[in-house]
Amino acid sequence: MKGLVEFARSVLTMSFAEFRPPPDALRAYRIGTAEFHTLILFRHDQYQVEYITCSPFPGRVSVVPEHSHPNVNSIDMFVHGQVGPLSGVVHCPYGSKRRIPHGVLHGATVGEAGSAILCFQQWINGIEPTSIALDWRGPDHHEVRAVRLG
Amino acid sequence: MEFDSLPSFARWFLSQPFRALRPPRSLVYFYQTEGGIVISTVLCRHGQYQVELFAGPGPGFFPPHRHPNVDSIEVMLGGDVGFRVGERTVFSEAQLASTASDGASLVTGQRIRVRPTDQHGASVGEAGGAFLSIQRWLNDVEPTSVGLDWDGPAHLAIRGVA
Repeated sequence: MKGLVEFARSVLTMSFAEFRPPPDALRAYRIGTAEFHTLILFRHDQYQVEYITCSPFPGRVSVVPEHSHPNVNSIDMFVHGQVGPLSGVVHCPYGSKRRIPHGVLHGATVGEAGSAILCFQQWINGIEPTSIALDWRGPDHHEVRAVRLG
Repeated sequence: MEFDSLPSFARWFLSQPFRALRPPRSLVYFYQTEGGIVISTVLCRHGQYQVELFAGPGPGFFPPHRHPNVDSIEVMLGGDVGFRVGERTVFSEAQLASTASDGASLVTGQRIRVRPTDQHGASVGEAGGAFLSIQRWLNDVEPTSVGLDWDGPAHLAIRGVA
């Protein structure tokens, strides 16, 4: 993951004025009980950073079921909100990170206030980068697609 | 940190590396209007100044409205957002349909001043849209989300936990 770590460090030195979202930058998904909006801020070859926002739902948590991304190594950096494993949520300080290698099962619970993360990605196996939710292996696989929410 | 004007705050924010941001805790908002949906997050706040990132899928339509207590500079990020301010269409269809050599929208980085008296709205194309709203809150109104300082057709849904 050395290349991914270097990419993440490099992106974090960039300002918003330097981000150049590609034409396919924006998508929205419903996964489990969670609603997501994603925005690819910057892409360079097989690397990209996707800003992923989970909608707030006052009075309830959102659950993303256990899944993996077979062709993406990622580092998630928390920007906002309360996020945790499937067992519960904790406040995640700005800048805290977790690494998720390709193929590793993971899930999440998001607190009622919603959340936002920066997801740094390295796409492997020659797969063209799109949105990490489109490289999905998990119980909701067939439901994961760009959708009109609301 | 103190700023003497909205443009100076905008210049400061746009020169900051992402790692320098210190967003307020838990400030994500979801809005649904008759024409579309959009989500926002407050990226940073300093006194009466803040920056909010808006992103939403397309297509969508956001009817004319104004924010009576907010002076703002919108900075285009990506997608297909046909902004209107007053009677003026900010970007032409040709501009919105064109891309730069790196694939980014030709309007990425373009700025639009929206004052508290300005009626404005937007049509969002199939590609969706994203922009930064760099704001100065006026009249001693506490900054929250610009979608809550809203003079226009009522939202169908607002979700957020401050």
